[in-house]
Amino acid sequence: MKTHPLPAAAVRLLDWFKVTENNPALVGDLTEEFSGGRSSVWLWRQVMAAIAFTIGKEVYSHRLLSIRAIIVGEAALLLGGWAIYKPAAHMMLSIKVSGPWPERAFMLLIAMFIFTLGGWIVSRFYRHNRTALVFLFATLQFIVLMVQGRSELVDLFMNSIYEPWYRWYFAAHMAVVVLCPMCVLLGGYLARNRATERG
Amino acid sequence: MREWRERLPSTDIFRILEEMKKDAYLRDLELMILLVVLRLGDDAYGVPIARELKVQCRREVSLANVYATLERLQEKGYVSSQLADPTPERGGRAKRYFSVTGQGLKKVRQTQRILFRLWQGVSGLQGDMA
Repeated sequence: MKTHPLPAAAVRLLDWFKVTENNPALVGDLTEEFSGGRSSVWLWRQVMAAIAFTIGKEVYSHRLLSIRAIIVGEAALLLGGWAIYKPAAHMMLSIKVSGPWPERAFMLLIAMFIFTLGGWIVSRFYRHNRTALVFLFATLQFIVLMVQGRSELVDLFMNSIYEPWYRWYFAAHMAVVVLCPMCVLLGGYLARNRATERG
Repeated sequence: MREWRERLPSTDIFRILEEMKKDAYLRDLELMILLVVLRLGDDAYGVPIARELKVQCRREVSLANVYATLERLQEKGYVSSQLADPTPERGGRAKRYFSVTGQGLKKVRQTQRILFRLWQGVSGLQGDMA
């Protein structure tokens, strides 16, 4: 049977989330099935499931560590909010800018920086389980932001159906919900890169 | 202050929950996988197990889910696994063969007896047993 290697992106993701390290037989099974003619859609579904199971298993087997990582991450966000976001918001009040958009964009950048810092700290504090814990922390932030802004998001979405210009506000709110957890992942990735270079 | 902490470590509640789970009944996927491993005999590794589940149970289960269930069963002592030699068609990765242990077989039989007893008590399903 001719071997079709798995796509490089899939191999990289499986390596990154430690699926290959924890269960090489599973990656072998994926290669065997993919070589046997399985579709790319099937493969990516399997890869996503493998990643989800690996993260779930790691979090479950390190429950106390996961709780501590969340507390450390949340503390970093609170500290960042108090030391960076709040003074920046006060500064923006004192500066006269035309329209709400430059202010929103600036504050979004500040928030993104704080979330990146949060992810970086979680990653640096919990090096051995960094991938799973950073991912857990990012997912938690996504849920928190969605829950916090749910009524506003629903209102803006409903309004945007009838008034097209509301779509910009809806997009701006969604950007916060999506970009901030992404920044947590970025922070985790940056910490990982630095550690790899040093190691 | 220190004494009661030593007597009750922080992970105790988790350990108790783990112990409780070991005696619990088999979940449906666990039972299905145990039966599939028994059916496959010497050829029970990830790919054929997932295929057999699809054919026999009409249930598409991801390979990751199959392995997660098998690992859980292994922790409970119901299956054991063995790595074969790596093969080139699998990208140089070995197959992991599974087999049901004596304890696993006992659990399957126990589950069968329980289900059979429950089945017998339902008059409307008597004819559908075969």
